[in-house]
Amino acid sequence: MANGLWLRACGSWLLRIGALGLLVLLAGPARTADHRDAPGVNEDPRADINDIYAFVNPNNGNVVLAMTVNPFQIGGAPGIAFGQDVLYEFKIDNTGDSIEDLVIQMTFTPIVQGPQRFNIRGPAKPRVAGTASSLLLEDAPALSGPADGSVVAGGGNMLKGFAGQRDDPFFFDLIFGFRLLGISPGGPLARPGGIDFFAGINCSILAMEIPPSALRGSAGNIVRVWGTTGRAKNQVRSGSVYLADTQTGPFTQIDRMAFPVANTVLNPTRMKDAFNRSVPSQDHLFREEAILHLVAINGDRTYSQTVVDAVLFPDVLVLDVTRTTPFLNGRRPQDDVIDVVLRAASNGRLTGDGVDVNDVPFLPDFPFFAPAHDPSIPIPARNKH
Amino acid sequence: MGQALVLILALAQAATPRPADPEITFWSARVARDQADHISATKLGYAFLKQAAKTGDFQFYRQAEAAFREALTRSPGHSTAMLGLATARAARHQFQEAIDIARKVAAAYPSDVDAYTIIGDASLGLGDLAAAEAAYKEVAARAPGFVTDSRRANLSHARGRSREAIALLRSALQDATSRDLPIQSRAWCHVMIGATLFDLGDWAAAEPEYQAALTLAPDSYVALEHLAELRAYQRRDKEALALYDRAIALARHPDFFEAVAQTHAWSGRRQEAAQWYARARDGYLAAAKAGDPGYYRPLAMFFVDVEPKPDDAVAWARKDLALRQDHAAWSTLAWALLARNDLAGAREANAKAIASGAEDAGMWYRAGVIEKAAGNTSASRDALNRALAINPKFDRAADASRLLVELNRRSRD
Repeated sequence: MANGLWLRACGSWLLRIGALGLLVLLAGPARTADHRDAPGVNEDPRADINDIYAFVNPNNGNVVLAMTVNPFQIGGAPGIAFGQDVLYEFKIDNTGDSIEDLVIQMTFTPIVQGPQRFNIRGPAKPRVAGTASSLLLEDAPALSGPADGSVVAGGGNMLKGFAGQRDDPFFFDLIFGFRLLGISPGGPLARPGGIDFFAGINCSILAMEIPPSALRGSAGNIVRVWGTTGRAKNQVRSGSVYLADTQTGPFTQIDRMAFPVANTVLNPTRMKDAFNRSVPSQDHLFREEAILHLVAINGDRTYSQTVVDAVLFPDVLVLDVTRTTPFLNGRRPQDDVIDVVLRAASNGRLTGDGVDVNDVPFLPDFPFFAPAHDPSIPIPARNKH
Repeated sequence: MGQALVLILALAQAATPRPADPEITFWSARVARDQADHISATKLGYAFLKQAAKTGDFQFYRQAEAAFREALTRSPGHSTAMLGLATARAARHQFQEAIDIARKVAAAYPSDVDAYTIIGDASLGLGDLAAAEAAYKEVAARAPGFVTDSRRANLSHARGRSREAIALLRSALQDATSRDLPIQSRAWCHVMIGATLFDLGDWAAAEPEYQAALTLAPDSYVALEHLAELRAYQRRDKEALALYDRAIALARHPDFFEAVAQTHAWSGRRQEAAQWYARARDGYLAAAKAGDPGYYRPLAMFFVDVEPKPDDAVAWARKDLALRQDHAAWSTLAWALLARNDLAGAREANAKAIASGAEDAGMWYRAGVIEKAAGNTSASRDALNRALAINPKFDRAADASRLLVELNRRSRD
């Protein structure tokens, strides 16, 4: 008689342990320390904010807010769902103190109940400001709809909503830029820039259109915007895959994002999670490290200090809701933010990464972001300038 | 591009009979596009790891390893590539190397949960349960829920606390469900719960777990193979063979061939059994020759139980023990040494297996046989009774009962 069961039950490390490790990988696209900016969010792609966009729709003067998550989805792969237990929030300061006066909250239904749907609540005054958020449960959703990439029309203070898989709108020669900025070791590359790392790559996008009047406060037309994700500290499990768990207590902030690549560029890895779990009004705690990092790039402390204080911290997107001008007025999808960052970080020594446009054209109106990639279309070697 | 990776990419394209994985195709093109791009090389490595998990094809680990090494050549110290490399090395049973790599990442990035999970998993592979527990405490502090509970379940299992392991697996499953983790994760939980129940002899409770796994993931070769095993033990051999066929179509593991052989043998089909045993042996040897250490242990057991070659059995058992020192490695060596009539060596190895605290019916059965050979009737009887108490339906349960009758008769005489 052979050794049968015992062989497999005791003999296979891969079955019990190795496969488990690999299964964790399957929880999302494989980890990376790049578009994902910190170890704490590497395993949590649904809560990992890639980028935040805030701009004025030139067609109608409304404000568009968008957040990209779930990085590195290759063309043709099914979109990764939004987290049913993740609270996606835009935080808006309209008084100039970098503390949120309004929040807009987006949540998603469980996949097991069928195709995911989104619920948007707000803009409304938050119950509490800071890294702990509470759902605006008393408010009926301002807008609900399928998270399938279709534009859902609303009314009042929430005119349009969108959630689904799209082309990742970020365009950047990541390898070239990271070597230039010292994020990856080895010094500047021998090759020129111009290879868009994000060409052919999709992500998940949630976006909404709001009348500017719904956002204005004592700072007039100027609003400061950042995005956060959080998970409920306590969940009451329904015990059924067909029923959503009940979120109780505050949501704990996992990630935050405003200025492009700010956390990636400015903070050492050991501080990235702390930054993600803090608030803009605390950014002075990270100021010295950020200045030192910039000094390493440009060699000028006074200049670096000015850049940090005038532009980078607090880490918010500053948007004049009456203007359609480019970054640094909020951020539009088509803005070549990396060239701005490289020039600013290097005091003009670096001119750009050689990638000046997205690999696919943006749409002329809401949601503006290009459709998800089709794998049959070859990836361009270099973007057209 | 490094020559090793060129070779690996060529292998990926030429040698894989199944349709190319879109992720591997995508990231391979990106790796070739920019010779400085360490991120795509890292992503390629993880794509290979995913394929390894999906197909069970060991060659993907080799390919993953080459991709991670290429990434590290392009960007030395890239932590994500280091952890990928550690994962691939652990999959090839190079546990100490995996631990060393992961420790470097943990030192540089103390908040990185992956580093600690790899340290814990590899420590478990080595049989160092204390080190595994310490690492999993770090995991728990960083990633409660599925990641932690599944790991703690494995630790409990290794310590012989099967019911505790099942409770932890159910908790992991609940978390995986509530967080919409991929179906593979949930299916894995069901299979592991089922397998643990099966190890306890509770076939009725194991079956719905396997069925639940197959409902979630109908093409899970792991779930198919476990259900096939259950059917074989239930002597529903036609169903078992049909399920093994499906599993083998998805993953040509030589241990599946041996299981088919065993199913035929139990039904008295000696010729078919012999054919499948030969296929299993050839598969084990080919895999071992190709660098897959996962089959060292099955080879040792094969050369004791199926095709007696005691010297070969001892050699394979020692190779296995050199890579991992868990209870099963010691028990395998003990069994091989007994086959070679090295009773003292067998008892010494067996003592080390038992000292682990594992509650494994097979291990206690072997202990009983070894003690019987040493003339220790009482110890033999205790061990055989313990084996049957752990799992009254384990594959050698009939042999254990027969030996007990014999021992009791001798005592009376």
